[in-house]
Parts: sequence; C-alpha cells; structure tokens
Amino acid sequence: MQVGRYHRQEIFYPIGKEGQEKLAAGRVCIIGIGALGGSVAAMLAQAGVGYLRLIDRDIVELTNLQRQVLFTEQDVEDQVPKAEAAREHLSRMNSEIEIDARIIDANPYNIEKLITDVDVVVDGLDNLETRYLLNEACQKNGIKYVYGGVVGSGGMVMNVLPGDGPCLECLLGPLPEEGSYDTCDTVGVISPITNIVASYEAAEAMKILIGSESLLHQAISVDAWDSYTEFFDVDQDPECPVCGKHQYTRLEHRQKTYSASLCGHDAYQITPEDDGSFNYDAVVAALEQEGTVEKKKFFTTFVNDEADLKLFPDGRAIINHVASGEAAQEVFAKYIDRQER
Amino acid sequence: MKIKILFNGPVRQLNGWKNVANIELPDGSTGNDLCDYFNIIPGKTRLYGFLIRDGKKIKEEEELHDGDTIKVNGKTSGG
Repeated sequence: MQVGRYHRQEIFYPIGKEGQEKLAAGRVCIIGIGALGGSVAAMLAQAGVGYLRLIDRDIVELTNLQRQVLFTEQDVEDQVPKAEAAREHLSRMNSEIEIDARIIDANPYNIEKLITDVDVVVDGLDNLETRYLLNEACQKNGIKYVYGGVVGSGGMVMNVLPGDGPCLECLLGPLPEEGSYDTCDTVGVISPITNIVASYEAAEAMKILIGSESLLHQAISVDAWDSYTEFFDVDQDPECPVCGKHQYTRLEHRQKTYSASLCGHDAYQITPEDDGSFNYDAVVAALEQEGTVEKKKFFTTFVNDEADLKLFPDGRAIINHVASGEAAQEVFAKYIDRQER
Repeated sequence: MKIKILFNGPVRQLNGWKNVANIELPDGSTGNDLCDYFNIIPGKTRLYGFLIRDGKKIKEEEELHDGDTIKVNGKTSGG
C-alpha cells in the first residue's frame, strides 16, 4: 500500500488527518528569509502548510552559506534575492503548496498589508528595529506572532498572542539605542542555534495553525554551545506602550522616505513612500545618462564618481559607501527621486 | 546576602567569559545593584537583555533575596 507524503505527520496523534487538513489550509507569513526564516520556511513547506508568504529585501551573499539552508553557491554567483532563491528551492521541495515570494523591505508603509490576511507571522528578522515594528503591527491587527532571535550561540523564542499575554516589548523592554546591542555581524552566529530556534518557531506555527492546546505560553532561552535551555514566564506589563496602552508609534512614524542601515555593510537602504508614481524603467533610463548601469534580473546597479547604488523595481535603493542615513538620502534624492534637477 | 549569578552564551563576556559568579550584596539590594556590580547599564550595555529569577523575568527594580540564583539573559537581535 502506498502511503501519502504526510503519512508520518498524520499518524502523529496531536496532528492527525484533521490537523493535516488545517495545515494545508493554513497561511503563514515569514518575515526575513535568512538562517531562521529559511529553516522555518523549509520545515513548514515540508509539513504541507498551504500558503507561505516569504518577505526579504536582501540578496544571497557568500557569508550566508555557513548557516542559511536554502541557498547555494550558484545563488551567490547569480546575486539572486533571498526571497526568490527560497521560492525556487522550496517549490522543488513541495510543489503542492503556494509560495508567494516578495522581494521587499518590511517597513511602516507596508507591514500591515503583509500580515493581515495570514493566520500567523513567523520571525526571521535580523534586526530589532523591524521586530518592534512587526510587534506593533501584529498587536494592532490581532495577528499571532512567533518571535525568534539568535546571536552567537544563544537564542530566544516566544509566542506573542494578542490579547492573551505579553508582547515582544514586555519581554525585551524599550528598543535599545542603535549600536547598543550586538548582532550576528558583530559577535557572529553558529548554525546549531539558528536551527534550534527555527525548529521551536516552526513547531509553534504549526500548533497555532491546527489550534493546538499545547501552545507555548512561556519564553525559551537556549544556548547551543553551553548546552543550556530555560523556560521562563514573562508578565504582560500594563504600562507596555504597545500591548498595554495600544500606542503604535513606530507604525505611525511614516516619513516620505525611510532609511535603514544594513548591518555589516557601509550601506543604507532608502525606501520611498509607495504613492504609485515610481517608474522603474524611466529612472533606469535616466541613470544610464549619468554613469555605468548594469541591469540584472531583479535589480539594477549604478556607479559614477558620486554614487554607488542598487535600485529595485519597488523603488527602494541600497546606497553603498556612505557614512550616514542623511548622506544616503542625498544620493537617493539626486539620482532616484530626481529632486533639484 | 549571597547571590549566585548565571551567564550563558555571549553574555559570559560580562563576567570575564565565566558561566557562574557568586557575589555578596548588601541586604535590600535590587537587580539594578546587581547590574552595577557587573558594570551593566540596562538599555545601554551591549549583550545585556534582562534578569530571570526562579523561572520568571524580573524588572531591575525588584529586590533580591539571600540565596537567589539570577540568570543574566542576553538580547537576541539576529536571525
């Protein structure tokens, strides 16, 4: 007798055939498709989750291959965006599910649109700023959010269930000042911890999708090098600006353009407000008059004496070799926004 | 009073890369005093996240007790 793809999962009592059907009907958004997000995406695709939305702004780089399971040396050579590379590899892993890859930056303009039609959001992010923004968006819209983070050999996991317990800000406190905390770019990270944390995240997402009563209601702190795991309680803080007072300041802090430094690079990403007026082809044509342009499948590079940038079809640009967000904004205004011409 | 402090992972840097510290603090000391002892400024010190006692996150303002075991937990910002 031939058994189906999900047989081993269906005979696992807490899931069963009914749970498998719920997974197939489930919709998950994974924000950040690096080490955590890539591993989570692989596990959920294998598990047969019916719809996966993959959000990532970055391109596959050589330093990713040490821990990011979905990418290959060819992806590095071809400079493929992570979301697209992940879509391609996952669709070969499971062709029965829908994979919606978005090569975009999650920011205050778009984050609510990205999460409001899914059952759960899973954290694969590489920075705290976007996590705090995501926390606000999920709280405001009542969307369940599985937080996971890693650095070095350590990691944490916690379910953020709006209206039922603490949020990310209750756990981590106010957003630390930029540069006041270490990241994977400053103290490194090892793949065992990313896979441990991703495994907890994937399991929680699956439990949320099938309506399991075994949801994690504590936080987990785990360290792969020190062989340490602790489950601990976190109180919901009634003074928490997000889940206590329902203030969504990051979500409402929308500027005409939004800049973010890219960890480990002397580069800033500038994301303009999406007012529908951006014309990619016209901007590329204008750039061709002012420097060396190379058109790639998913972006265009531009270099001249003043600027070195990558432009994406959604209007955002990565400005290389600049010292500050202000300097990046100036380059963006001159060459992309075409101001003061 | 005597307090046992546990450090795991990258936060061991805050204790000279050692996992455990046994310290003495005056009665009535709080988590903030513990942080002072290790030169930690909550919200500013790289790596530091929060304190855990008896399987529960505590605020730095909370009073510590003789015999407490406190875990110094890091921030996990990467992915």
